[in-house]
Amino acid sequence: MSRSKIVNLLKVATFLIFIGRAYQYIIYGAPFRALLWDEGLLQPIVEGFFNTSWNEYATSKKVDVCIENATLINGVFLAIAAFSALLINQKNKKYLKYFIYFGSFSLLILSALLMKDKFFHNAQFFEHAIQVVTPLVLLLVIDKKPDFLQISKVLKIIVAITFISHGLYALGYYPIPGNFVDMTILSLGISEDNAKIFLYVAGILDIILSILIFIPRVSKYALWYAFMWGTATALARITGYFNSDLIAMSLESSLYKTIYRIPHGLIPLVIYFIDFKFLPQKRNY
Amino acid sequence: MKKVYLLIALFICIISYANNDKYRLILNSDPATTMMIAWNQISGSNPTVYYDTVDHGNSDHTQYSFSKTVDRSTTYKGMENQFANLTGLTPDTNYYFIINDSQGNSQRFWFRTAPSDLSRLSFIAGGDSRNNRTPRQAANLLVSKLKAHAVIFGGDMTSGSTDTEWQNWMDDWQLTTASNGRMFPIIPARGNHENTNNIYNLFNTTSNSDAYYALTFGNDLFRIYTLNSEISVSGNQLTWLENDIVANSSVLWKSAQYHKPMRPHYSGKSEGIDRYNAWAQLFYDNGVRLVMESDTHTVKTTWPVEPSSGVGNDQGFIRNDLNGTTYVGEGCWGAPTRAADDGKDWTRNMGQFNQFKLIFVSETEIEVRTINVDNAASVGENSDNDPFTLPSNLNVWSPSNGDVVTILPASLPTKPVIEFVAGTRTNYSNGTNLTFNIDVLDAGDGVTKVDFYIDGALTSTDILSPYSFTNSFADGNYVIEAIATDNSGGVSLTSQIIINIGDYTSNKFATIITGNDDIEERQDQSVYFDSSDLELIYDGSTNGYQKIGLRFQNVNIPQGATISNAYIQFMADGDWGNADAEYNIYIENTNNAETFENNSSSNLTGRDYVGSTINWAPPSWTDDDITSNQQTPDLTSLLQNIVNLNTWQQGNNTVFKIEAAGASQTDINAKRRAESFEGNYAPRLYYSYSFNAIAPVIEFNSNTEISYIDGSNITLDVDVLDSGAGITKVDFYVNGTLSSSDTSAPYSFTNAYSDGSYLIEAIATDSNGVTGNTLIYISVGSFIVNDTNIIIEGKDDIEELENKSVYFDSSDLELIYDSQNGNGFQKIGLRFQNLNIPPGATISNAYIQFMADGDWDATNSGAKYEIFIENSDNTMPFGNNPVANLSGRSYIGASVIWSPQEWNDDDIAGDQQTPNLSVLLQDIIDLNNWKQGNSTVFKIEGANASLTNVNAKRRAESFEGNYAPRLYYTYSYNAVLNTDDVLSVGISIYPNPTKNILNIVSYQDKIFTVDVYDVRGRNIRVLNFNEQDSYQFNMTSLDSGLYFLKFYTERGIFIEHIIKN
Repeated sequence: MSRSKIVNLLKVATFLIFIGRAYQYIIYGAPFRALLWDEGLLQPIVEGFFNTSWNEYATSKKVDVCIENATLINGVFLAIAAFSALLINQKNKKYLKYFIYFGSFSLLILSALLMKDKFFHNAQFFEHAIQVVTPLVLLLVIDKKPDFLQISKVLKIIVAITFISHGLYALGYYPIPGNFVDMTILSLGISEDNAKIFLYVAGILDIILSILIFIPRVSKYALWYAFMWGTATALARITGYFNSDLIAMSLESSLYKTIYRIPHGLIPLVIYFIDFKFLPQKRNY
Repeated sequence: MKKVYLLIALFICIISYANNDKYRLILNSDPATTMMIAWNQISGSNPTVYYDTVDHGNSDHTQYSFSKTVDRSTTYKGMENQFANLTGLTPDTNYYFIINDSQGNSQRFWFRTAPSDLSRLSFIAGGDSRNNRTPRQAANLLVSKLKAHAVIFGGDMTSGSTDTEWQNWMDDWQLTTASNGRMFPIIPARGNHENTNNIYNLFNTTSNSDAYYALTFGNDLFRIYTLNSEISVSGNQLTWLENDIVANSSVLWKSAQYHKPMRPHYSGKSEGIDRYNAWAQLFYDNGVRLVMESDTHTVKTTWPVEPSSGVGNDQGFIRNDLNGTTYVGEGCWGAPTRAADDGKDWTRNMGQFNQFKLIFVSETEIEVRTINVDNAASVGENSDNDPFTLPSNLNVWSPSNGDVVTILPASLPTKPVIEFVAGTRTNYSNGTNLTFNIDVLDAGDGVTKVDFYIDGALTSTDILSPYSFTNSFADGNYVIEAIATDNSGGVSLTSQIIINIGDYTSNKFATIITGNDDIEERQDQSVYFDSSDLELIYDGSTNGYQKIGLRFQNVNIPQGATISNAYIQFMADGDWGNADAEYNIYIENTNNAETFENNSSSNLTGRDYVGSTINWAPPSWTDDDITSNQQTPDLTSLLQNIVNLNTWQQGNNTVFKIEAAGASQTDINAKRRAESFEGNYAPRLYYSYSFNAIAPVIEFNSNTEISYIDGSNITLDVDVLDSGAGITKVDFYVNGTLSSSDTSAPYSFTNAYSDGSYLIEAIATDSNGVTGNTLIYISVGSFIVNDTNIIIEGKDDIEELENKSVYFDSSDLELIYDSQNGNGFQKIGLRFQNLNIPPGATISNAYIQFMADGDWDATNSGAKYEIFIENSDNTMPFGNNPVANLSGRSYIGASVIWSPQEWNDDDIAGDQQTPNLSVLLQDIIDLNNWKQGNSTVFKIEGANASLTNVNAKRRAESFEGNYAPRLYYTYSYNAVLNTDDVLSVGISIYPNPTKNILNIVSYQDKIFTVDVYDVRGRNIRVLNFNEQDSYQFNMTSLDSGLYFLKFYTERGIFIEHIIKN
């Protein structure tokens, strides 16, 4: 396992995150309105500072178009960030890193907005850890002497945070989202009651593996499980929404969600390669 | 001092008003008889709802007749939510209520329960009232003004579901209460801005947080499904929905609401594929015609759509105006708005403003309007009794495709209906170049072709109207079928005609084609349909010595054929060697055997059989054999009886009964057992027959004049449709007396007639001596006739029991109550055949004469009857089925009342006569298609006491008894009043107006074709005269109204107009 392979995997992971989200922002937008349309928060500002009635502001086509355009631009920059991730090397890093930072920051904002939009569930924010931090980790490895031990730790932490967050939803600590249950029912062909049991178990496992990946003796197995489960849940966005008669439609709506979630499986794989293929080599020198 | 008064006033204020607020009404069960009242209890204890149908104000709660304590309370979102569910309410009634607690009474509110019948309903439907309080308050105010039966709310009430937001929402909801205290119930759904328990804890819908449920309004008029798009849509919720939709299939209108759309009309919202996959097809398949969606904060209405992945679909839907689902939405009951920028092919209109839908539901249609809520303050207010008026200044959205989305009941897919032209002959001496024509009774979506089959093989296709098929046939028997297809792919039922050509013999068989056609009638006379075998005869101790019934359909033997052999073939079920097995085989005495039913008239015992039987003592049977051992003896003599009946038609059905004879009646071992339809072999009736179709067929031409002012020199022609073996002569009879013979074609007969009515019969004889005849009635001049028509067979005087079954054979006619056999308050039917009254006659007198059966005196006073005549120009015989009994027929509206005097036994006098029935009979004679010699039916029902008092009756003899009732009539006729209009160019078009047939006759110039145009100028038909002088244009299937006929004749082109009634 060469260093460049690990770097490439991280590049691919970052690319997938950014390109999937770029597609989302450009085609479907982002939940900026969770903040910008919050009457409770912004009414004093809109009416006091901008001297416009809230209703006028909220139903203004101009404001709407502004938000749309800002989202579009954000999406374009995310696309640029995606390609930057593929192209980045030690030489161009000093320029391209700003796109990566921008992308990561965008996703941080997105995570905060999503949390606000969903009853301030903390997990809603933290489950995006892999997506927000992986690009920053990429920047870490584009270096003369990256510290892979450190990098592995960071990656483990973000994997644990992400999986615990999902696990809390799956086992019902937060109300199980309907689409989790539906994806399970439709991907596995089981009943709702069995799907909830399945998800409960999966949630428990998510939390367990988040601990086990830190324990050397068993981390290998935990990482493999995380790789498979992370990939499976990414693919579930397609299989759970599939309509065989309307393939194009199904893919168009779900493919991007799969794409930016593939790193949920890829990153555990990367950790595995670092811990069990790369670092042992290094020690052998 | 002032302070004291102030304090007292304050004190009074405090005790006058209880400490509660945030009132709302919720519907989560029957809207006609229940109402959930909810509120926030600020302080005070033991709150109780006091209610009544009378308004007692709010000073004294004890004045209210009813009370209800709190069923459930929740401390939730900073409120003390109380729920009291009122039940047992009266539909469509105002209920007034107050809430009394330890601190006093609330203000008085009231509501109206929903109706429980089919009265029109009004709903307001919308969702998404978060983050824009001004229009939310406006929309709520409009609710108070529009007085709808309920508010259907699609979720996203608040943004962050915080305590403050919910309390504000509840406070704003108070605006939906009218100034007179009337409240309107909400039917809430959960949105993505509601957490799991919000709806359950604040609105108490359903028994848990699932928040999906359904309500039916009215008498199965409108069922609204509230679904939850935030939980699994393909799991338990879907199972519930599938079961509930099927269980409530009889509801007239079904609708659904849920938060997140399947296909949002805003590009930034992701597609609801999971909801589409779970619900779209289910909605369409089950007639859910209106769906309300929210979430997007935009405005959309769609055309009716059907889920489809086929060509032309846009995001999985195609437009289907016949029975598609209309989707409306999408939220903004007070929310920031999004642009509607993602229209589909099937989008009707889109917009971007705060709105809800105003929906009116009636039996015949649903109307949906989109109401812009912004100007609510300046909108007028409806009266409490009329929610259907649009108040002044109501801002109804008026987009390009109209204000009102109207949903009509689903149309069934089209299907054409065709038949072989009435009167198409079935027997032909010669099969060369025979043409068969089709009448299109219903063009469906426009007939594109008619396929013709001979004995099941496709032989010809005609794509141009009029549809016909010409073929040459060798001697024999042929089944010809026609099937029409229309533009939508709708396919007609098969129309069939069976023809006989020349002189032939045929060997065919009929088989049992359905399990219900081979039965075992048990010893107790109950019928068992589904046995996998036929026990001949003993079938265990429960079933006992039974009888076997076999109904063979489609027995393809022409009337009058000579049967040479007939037998029933069985397959042996098991080995049977007992030599004493013996049976008698009977055939039902009917021209067309009806289905077997498990009742006393349609089992085996209840049927009428031909007197003779065939005895059968079969040899031993070996399991699975289908040999001559399993064949009955020759049944020719039985079957010949039926085929000889005048009313037998080839293709009709016949029933055989097999009973035990000899030892089989008592010895349980003297038996055989055969396979049945449900088992391994359906029994067959094999038959061989010969038939000679060679016969002359003649008819008086259909445009032969039947009314003559001057009888001095009338010539009547007959057309030869079939010369048989060669016509040698045609004899003409006038009123039964031979008057003339013509031995060479064209066959005609000239005679002089004095004034009167005459039956002219022509009988052609061919070189084999076979005859064929035709009849015509003519009326000459001016005359008066007194005549009588008598019931000629037992089947023409009937009693229809209270349960609508028909009893043919009574020896009397009970007018009306019949204690026998549970007949009850029955109805009497009398069918008079061959009624010798010409069209155009004026009936001056008509009555039915009975013979008294028994004495009927003062103890039977109050007898009263109502007499009707069937609205038909030629009635069909009575039958024991819902179409041919009395109740299944339609009658002229007028009736004649008869209150008879006392009757003495055996009298045939004035007391036994009905009043004058002229007014009824005249209506029939005046029908367009009445022909002399047709038949008519009178129905006699009880009236007043005769329907309640078993003694208020009379009894008359019947055909089977001592006297067949008869119809006496007197009519006058004047030919001058009955001649047809003749156009100046010698073309006669009659009758005009017409109800069905239009006759077009040319006496002079040849007509080539006639183009028929409807009132919109569309050429709907071309009548090809094909060298004929006349054409019968069947307009039955056409709409009533004005039509134009464009004649292309050798003289030129002419236009005439006619009216179709």
